[in-house]
Amino acid sequence: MAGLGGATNAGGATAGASTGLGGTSGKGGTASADDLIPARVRRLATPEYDATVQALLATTASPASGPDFPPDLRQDGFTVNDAQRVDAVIVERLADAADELASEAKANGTLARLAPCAAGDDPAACARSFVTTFGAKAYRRPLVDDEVNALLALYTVGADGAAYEDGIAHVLRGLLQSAGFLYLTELGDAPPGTGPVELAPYELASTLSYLLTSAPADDELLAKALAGKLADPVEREAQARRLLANDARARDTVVRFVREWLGIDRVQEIAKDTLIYPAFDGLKASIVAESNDFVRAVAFESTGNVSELFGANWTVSSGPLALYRTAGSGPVAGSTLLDDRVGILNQAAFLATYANAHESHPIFRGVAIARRVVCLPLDSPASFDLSVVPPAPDPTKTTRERFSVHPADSICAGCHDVIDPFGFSFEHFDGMGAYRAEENGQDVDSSVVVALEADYDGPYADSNAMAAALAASPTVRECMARYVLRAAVGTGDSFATPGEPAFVEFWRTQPAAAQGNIVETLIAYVKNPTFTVRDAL
Amino acid sequence: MSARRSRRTFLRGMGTGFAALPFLRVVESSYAQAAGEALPQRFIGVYHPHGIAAELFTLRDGETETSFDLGYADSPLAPFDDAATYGKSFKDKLVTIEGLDLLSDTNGHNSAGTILTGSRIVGGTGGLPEYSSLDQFLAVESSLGDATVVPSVALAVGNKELSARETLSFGKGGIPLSKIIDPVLAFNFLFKQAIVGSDPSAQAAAERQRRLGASLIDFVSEDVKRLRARVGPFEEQKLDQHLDALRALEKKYQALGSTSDCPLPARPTAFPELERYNGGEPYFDAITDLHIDLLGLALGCDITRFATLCMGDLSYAGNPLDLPVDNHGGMAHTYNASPLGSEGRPVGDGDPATWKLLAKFNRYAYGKVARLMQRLDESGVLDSTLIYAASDMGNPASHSTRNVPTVLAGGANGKLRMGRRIKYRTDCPLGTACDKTSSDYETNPHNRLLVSIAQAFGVDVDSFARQPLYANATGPLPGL
Repeated sequence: MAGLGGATNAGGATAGASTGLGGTSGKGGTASADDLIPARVRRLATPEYDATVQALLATTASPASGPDFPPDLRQDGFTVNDAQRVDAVIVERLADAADELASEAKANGTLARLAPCAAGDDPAACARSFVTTFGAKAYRRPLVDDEVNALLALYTVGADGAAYEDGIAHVLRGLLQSAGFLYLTELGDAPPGTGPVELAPYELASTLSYLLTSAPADDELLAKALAGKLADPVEREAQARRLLANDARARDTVVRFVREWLGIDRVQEIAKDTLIYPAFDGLKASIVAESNDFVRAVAFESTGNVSELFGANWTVSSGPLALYRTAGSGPVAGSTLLDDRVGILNQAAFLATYANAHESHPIFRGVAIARRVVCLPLDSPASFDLSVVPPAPDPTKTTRERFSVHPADSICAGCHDVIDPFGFSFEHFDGMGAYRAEENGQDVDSSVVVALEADYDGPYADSNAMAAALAASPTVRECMARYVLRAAVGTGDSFATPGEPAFVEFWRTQPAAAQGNIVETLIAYVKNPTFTVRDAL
Repeated sequence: MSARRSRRTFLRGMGTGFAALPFLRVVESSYAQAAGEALPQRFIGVYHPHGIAAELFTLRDGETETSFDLGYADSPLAPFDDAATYGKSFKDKLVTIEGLDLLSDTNGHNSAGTILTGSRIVGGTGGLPEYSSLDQFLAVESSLGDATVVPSVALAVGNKELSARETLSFGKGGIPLSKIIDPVLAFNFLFKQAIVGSDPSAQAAAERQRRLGASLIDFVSEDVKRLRARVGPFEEQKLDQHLDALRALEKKYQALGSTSDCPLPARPTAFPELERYNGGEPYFDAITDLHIDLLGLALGCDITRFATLCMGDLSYAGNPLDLPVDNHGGMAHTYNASPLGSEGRPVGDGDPATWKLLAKFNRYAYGKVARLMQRLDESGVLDSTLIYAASDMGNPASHSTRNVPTVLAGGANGKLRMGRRIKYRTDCPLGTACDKTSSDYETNPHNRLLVSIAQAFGVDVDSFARQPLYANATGPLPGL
C-alpha cells in the first residue's frame, strides 16, 4: 500500500468497466441520426497533402512531412481525422510550400508541360485552359465560374510586369492554398436541411481513394464515380481490391490503421532511462521497423487475420531479434520463429510504449488491452475524484508487488479487476520488452486469472498464453472491426463513433473468414451501405 | 464523455439550450477601455512541467500577504528576488497564489490544456478541452491582437505534438494551436516581415511580394468563404479559424519591408536537434532562452502582444541541474508530499529531499520567467505585461490538479495589485480526507483567475469556459 494514500470515493460512483463486459462498446444498438457520419469538411492530413501535390505536379517533394510543418492533431490515437485545422502557423507553412512547389515546377519544366502556350497563342486563353483543366484536378471536381474567374484574376496579377509562366506559377500558388484543394468535402449536392445526404460522385471517388491510398482518385476510379458506379457496393469493393493490389500506399494505410489502433506508432516518440535500459537507443530503429514490417507481413504476406496478428509465433527479420529468443526461420519469407513471445502484444513496440522510462507499467499495458484490444470502456480515475499515486521505487519488491495496490473492496477495484490481470500477465517483459525471469532477486509472477464473463476468460501463465486466447476471441475480432471503423471515420469519438453500430451489424453479416481478416474488414467498411451517406447539414 | 463531438459542438455553436446562460455574453461582448484607464496590454502564458513543490512554495509562518521573503533555503521562488542574476528584484511585480484547483476532470498529465481554457478535458486518452484559451480569447475573439502585425504566437520547447498534455493555446472548440519549437521559425514568424532592409532591390522585391501576397490572401479567403457557405455550424468553426489565420498572414504581407526604429534580433542559428527524445534535450535550455529573448523583443517592438510558451524538461544525462536522467520517473513520480501537497489528506510528513529536488526544477523554471521579465523590462514593456505561469499539476506523484501553486508576474499596467502572496485555503482542510461531497470541501477553481485576467484586459465577462457546476466557472478571483 506504500504510496497509495486513502483514495476517496466520489459519492458512491461505481466503476464504469462493469457496463461494457462481453465486448460491446456500451453504445451498440440504437439506430438514430447519430449513426451517420456528419456532413463535413476535412483538411488533408500530412501524408495526404504530400501525396496530393506529388500526384498533381509529379514532384518528389514531401513538404508537409518536413520538420517545419506542425504534426497532425491526433484524435483517439488516429492521425487522419476531421479535427485538423489551418491556424496561423500552418497557413504560413502552406504558403511557403506553395511558393517552393511553384518555383520548382517553373524551373523543371512542369509548368510548361501543364500549361503549354505556343508562340502566337493568346496567353489569357492558355491560362484559362490551364485553370479549368488543372484547377479541376486540384479541386478534385469541376470548377464553378466564380472559381475560374478568381483564379484568372491571380494569373493577371502574377503575369503583370512579368512573364506568362509567372502568371501560371501564381495560379498554382493559389490553388495549393485554396479551400478546394486543402479540404476534402463530404457534403453532397443537396441543399442544407433536407435530411441525410448522399455524397456527390466526385466526393465518393475522393472519399474512397483518400481512405485507401491517402491520395486523389486515379483515372479509373474517377471514371467509375462519374458513371455513377460507386453507388453500387460491388463496384466499390472491386475498386478497393484493385487499389489494395496495385497501390503500395493502400497497404501503407492498413499498416497505419493497425499501428495507430494499438498505439504502437508512438514508440517512435519515446525514450528510456539510459541508465536502466542502455540498449534501447541502439535497438529503437529495429523496434520501430518491426512495428511496421510485422503488420505488413501479417496483412499482406500471410493470413491477414487478427488471430495471427495477436497469436503469431514469428516475427520479421527487421525486428529487434537481439532482444528475443529465436528458434530458426519462420513460416513467412524472411521471418524468424520466436521462442519467448507470441504476437504483436508481446513485441517490443507495444511493451516499450506502454511502460515508463525506467520500469514496466502493468497499468498502461492493462488499460491498452482493455480499451484497444477487447473494447472495454474505462473511465479515468479523475472522474471518480480519485487521486492516483504511482508506487514508489522499492528495490526489495517486484513491479507486480508494487502495483498490487487495488484492494477488492475499494472503488479502484471496479476498473482494476479488469486492468490488473491483463497488465500483470506481461511482467516477464521489462520496460523495453526484454524477457526477465526475475526482478530484484525475486521470481517474476506473471500468472493471472481473467474473469470477465468474456470469451477470453481463463487462467493464464503469462501474456503469451493470454495472447493466444485473445487471438482466438470473437470479442477481439469485433473490437478490431470497431477500430478499423474508427480509424476510417476519424471523428475521434471512441465508443461513440457515428456509424459504428450500423457498421458492426453489417460486419456481422460477412462470412466468418472475412470477419477475422483486417483487410477484409476494411473492405466491409467500403461496402457497407452508410459509406455513401452523411447526416444532414 | 457521452455526447458526440459534432453534436456537442453544434449545440454550443448554436447556443441551443444554453441561450440564457451568461457565458454567451463572453462571445458577444466587446472590449472597451474606459477613458484614461490604463489596461494591461500584453499577456504571456507560461507552462512549466513536472508540477510544483507546494511545501517549499508556500507562504511561511509569520509572513503576510505583503511582507515576505523569497530568498530562503530551497525557495523555488528565489529568482524573483535575485538582482544579481536578473538585473533587478521583481518581488514587487509578482503575485503568488496558493489554493487554486484546475478543474480538468482528468489526470494531471492531460491538464496543461486546462490552464488557459478553464475547460475540462473530454474524450479520454488524447482528450481535448472544449473551449478556446485565454490568449486566443483576448487576441482573436476580443480582437485585442488586431493592433499588431502578429495577433498572437505560441512557442514551445521540445514537443510540437498537438495535444492537451503540453499545449496552452487552443482555438475555438478547443483545438490546439500549432506550437513553434524552432527558434529560427519563431524568428521568421515574428520578424521576417520587418527585416527586408532598405536596399532598393530588396524593397522592390518586397513590393512585388506584397502585391502577390495580397492577391493570394484575397483569393484564398474568398475560396474559404465559398466553402463556408456550404457547411454546418461545427465546420464553420474550422473555416473561421482558417480565415483568422489568413487575416494574420495578410498583415504580415502588408508589413513586408516596413521600417522600424526598434532594435531587431539577429536570426538565430539552427539547432542540430529540436525534439524531445531525438537528441534535442541538451539544447532545451538554450532554446528556452532564445525563445524568451525573441519574445522580449517582439513584445517590446509591439510586433505582438499575446504569447504562450510551453517549457520542456531536462531529461538527459549530465543536465545542468544534476537532475535524474529521467526527470519524469526520477523526480516527479518519486515526490513524497506532506498533506499540503496531497489535497489535505493525512499522508504523514513526506520526504523533504524529494521536495528539494522538485524545487530545484521549479526554481529553474521560475528563473526563465524572471529572465522573461528582465527582457521585457529592458524593452520597456514589463509594466504593461501580465505573465501567468503555471504547471499542469501540483503534487506530481499523485498528478494532483488541486491546490496548484500559481504565479502572476509583470506590472499589468496597475490593474492588479502586485507584490503579494495570496494564500487561499486548501480545498480540503489540512489533515482531512474530505471528498467533493463533503461539507468541508470547497473548491477554488482557477476559472476565476481567468475571469479576473479577462476583466483586467477590459473584456466584460463574468465567467470563463463552462464547468458542470456553473458557479465553478463564474466570477472573479476574490481578493486578487
